[in-house]
Amino acid sequence: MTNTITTDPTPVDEAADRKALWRSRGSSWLVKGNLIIVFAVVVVVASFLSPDFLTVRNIANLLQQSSLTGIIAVGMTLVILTSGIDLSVGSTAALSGMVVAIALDGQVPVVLSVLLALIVGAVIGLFLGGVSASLRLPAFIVTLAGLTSIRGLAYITTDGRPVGQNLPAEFTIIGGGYLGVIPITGLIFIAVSLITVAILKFTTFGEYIYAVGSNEEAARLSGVPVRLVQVAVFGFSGLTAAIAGVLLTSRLTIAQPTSFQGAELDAIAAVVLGGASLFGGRGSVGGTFIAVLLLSVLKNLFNLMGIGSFFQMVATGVILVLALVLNKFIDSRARRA
Amino acid sequence: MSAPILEMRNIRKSFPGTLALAGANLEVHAGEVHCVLGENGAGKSTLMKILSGSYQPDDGEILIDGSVTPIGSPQDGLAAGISVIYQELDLFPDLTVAQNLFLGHAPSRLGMVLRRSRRAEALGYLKRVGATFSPDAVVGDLPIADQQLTAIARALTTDARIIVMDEPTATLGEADVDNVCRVIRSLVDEGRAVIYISHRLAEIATVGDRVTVLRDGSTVAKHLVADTDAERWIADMIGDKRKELTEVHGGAVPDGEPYLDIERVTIPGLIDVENIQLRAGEIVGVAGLGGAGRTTLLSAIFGARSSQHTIRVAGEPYHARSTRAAVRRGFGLVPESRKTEGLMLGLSVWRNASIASIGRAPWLLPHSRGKALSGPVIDRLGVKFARGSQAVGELSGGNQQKIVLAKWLTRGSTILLLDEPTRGLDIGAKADLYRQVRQLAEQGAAVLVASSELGELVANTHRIVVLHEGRNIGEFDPRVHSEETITHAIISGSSKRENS
Repeated sequence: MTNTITTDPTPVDEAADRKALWRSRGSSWLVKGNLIIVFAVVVVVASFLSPDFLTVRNIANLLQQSSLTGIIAVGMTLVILTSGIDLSVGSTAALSGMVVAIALDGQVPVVLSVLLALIVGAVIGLFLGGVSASLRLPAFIVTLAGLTSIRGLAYITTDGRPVGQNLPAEFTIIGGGYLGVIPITGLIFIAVSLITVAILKFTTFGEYIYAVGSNEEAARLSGVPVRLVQVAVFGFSGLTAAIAGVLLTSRLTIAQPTSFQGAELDAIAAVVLGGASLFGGRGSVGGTFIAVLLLSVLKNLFNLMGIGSFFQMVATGVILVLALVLNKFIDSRARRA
Repeated sequence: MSAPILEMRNIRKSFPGTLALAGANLEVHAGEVHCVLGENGAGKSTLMKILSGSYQPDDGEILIDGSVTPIGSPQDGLAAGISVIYQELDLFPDLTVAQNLFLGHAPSRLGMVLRRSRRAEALGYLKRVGATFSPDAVVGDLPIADQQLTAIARALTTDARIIVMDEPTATLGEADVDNVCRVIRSLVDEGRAVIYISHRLAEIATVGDRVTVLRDGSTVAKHLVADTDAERWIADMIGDKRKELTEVHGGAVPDGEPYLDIERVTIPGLIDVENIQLRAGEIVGVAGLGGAGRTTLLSAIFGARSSQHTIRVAGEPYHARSTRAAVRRGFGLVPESRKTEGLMLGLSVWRNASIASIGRAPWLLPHSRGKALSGPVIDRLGVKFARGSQAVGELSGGNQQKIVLAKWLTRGSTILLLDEPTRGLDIGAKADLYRQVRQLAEQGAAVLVASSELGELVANTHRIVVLHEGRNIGEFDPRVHSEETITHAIISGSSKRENS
């Protein structure tokens, strides 16, 4: 009986169907490719405006600059995909940067010190995510509380003083070193992005992240461990923040409790510019990756053009909004078609 | 008798796939409590929504005080003196009683609300409905009975002459019901008309003056409450079901030990259900009026809401502490609202169909594994879609519902809980869905179907459990009992003709 149903010739006009398919594919490519096109245009403009732009040195520099925010943004992408938000990442990064420096000052081996700092970041994320998920408190408020109190902890560790004047060379090379012409931090950024892409694409956990963000209730009624997923993404976000914190300490060869002020906003901006929806269920690490590069290319471009940093802030905000408007415009046209 | 304050003549309204009203008439006089009766889907709510201006009729006219008054919007309805108090009280829980009473028409000067006079006026209206709470109380903090009074008082502030009450006592205790009834009587004594919709026939006998019975979208009877009794109304609501030819598919009842044995499920104040057994291969229907507890029962069994329960699956005790535990034990729920509870609309067909099945070691490659697992199921169900990566929100209702079903078939669930599985589907899609469900049962699944469409249950189930106000009052065999007998039990809550 079922066979007759499936083999029934569908009364749909196949040619029209295929056309619609192409149109929707075309438009979805446009939405996804939108950012890459903008990115390419900005790069071309930049290389015309400044002969220094397309030099190996400048590009390496650019990658190094974007990698720390980028690593944080990759973790933030997972949180936002579940329709959460993590405002505590800047403070967590600062605290982890302090922890690694203090541990190294105390003659703890490099590997253990780094591991300790990463664990601190992950545990903070798990704790905040756990509080938010189990008590059903909005992540916005819980991580806002985290933002101030963790920053406070970062100051408390050394009473507000920078720490780690004599960091060992095998540690400082991670943040400051190059592999050939490519900065190691850039490679770490790329590696973290690739690993996260793999998590999203090839693991059940990644599938659950999209499910929870798309419809939490339907996910719960399908037996998805919704709270566990929510806690885990915050743990991941804490971990990526800690990686960024460790790398900054390594690059500056000193840890400061004031670092990463406002980093959470840079990360959120990149994630949203990368096409993720703050309501969850939509977005990708690839989009975030390009968006991070785009933002630092713009900054780089402004610097090469000699535009002051005050103007840069205004221009970055305007570009962010324009990109979102463009995305929304193309998206709604695609849906109407 | 004086001219009617409200007359609705020959109202017709159809929705895609269904004819909700096929010429309904209603005549209400000032100073009376007019009760509107009918089974699920008889057209009561549609008629009231047309009266309030929420829906536009396809045909027919509304007369107020004898003159034709088109009601194009809820604002028109209010202007014509009509106020509807919905069952799920549309109050603002975070605002005070006084703010709720005068929202949109508060006494004001130069755009400033005159709080003092608002409070004084609110006090007056509250007194008229016999309320003893303060106008400064926050509505969400009040017990449900007081919220009901607030809603009634709000209807008075707009000076409504025709007040529609949809199941005002459904969630109230006995003492509160008495108070609401007293308030209703005092309203009609002032010359207003109250249109009263309730499933509680005993209450109608107490508070009502006249009764209009709807069946299948038409007015079939009008009675004076004083001259008739509940048996008469029930007979009118049911009609002559024997003439209907329903094809019964039930087939042989499987025998053997019960697979799902529900000894008792209790949620205080909501449901108290005892002794429902399902064998493997059996389809059991759950019938009842709106609010009888069908959805609550299914979600309690599925662990989606907490309850006290004693349930055994295949002889082993089962504890529904979470939806995850339920899914692991072989349960699958097709929820009442497929868009908000059943599907992740923005995600693809494949992802939706496989979401319950990918949570097994080694936790890798959910896409290709999900595609491989769900593909054959989707094919077998005959889902029509352009490609598996298509967002499920783009499919038709019937195909969406099949994807919800596919989610559990892919998982290999052995106990299916279906809540209103055919809601919003056209006739062809309904028949198709039940054909699939019967096939699943033949393959050994135990199926519990809750539906407000008794005809569907009669045609497709082996047994029908009737719920009434949270209790199961009887079990019926659709091949032995007529639809009429079952409907009688559904409405009256009396299990006189119980089969045991």
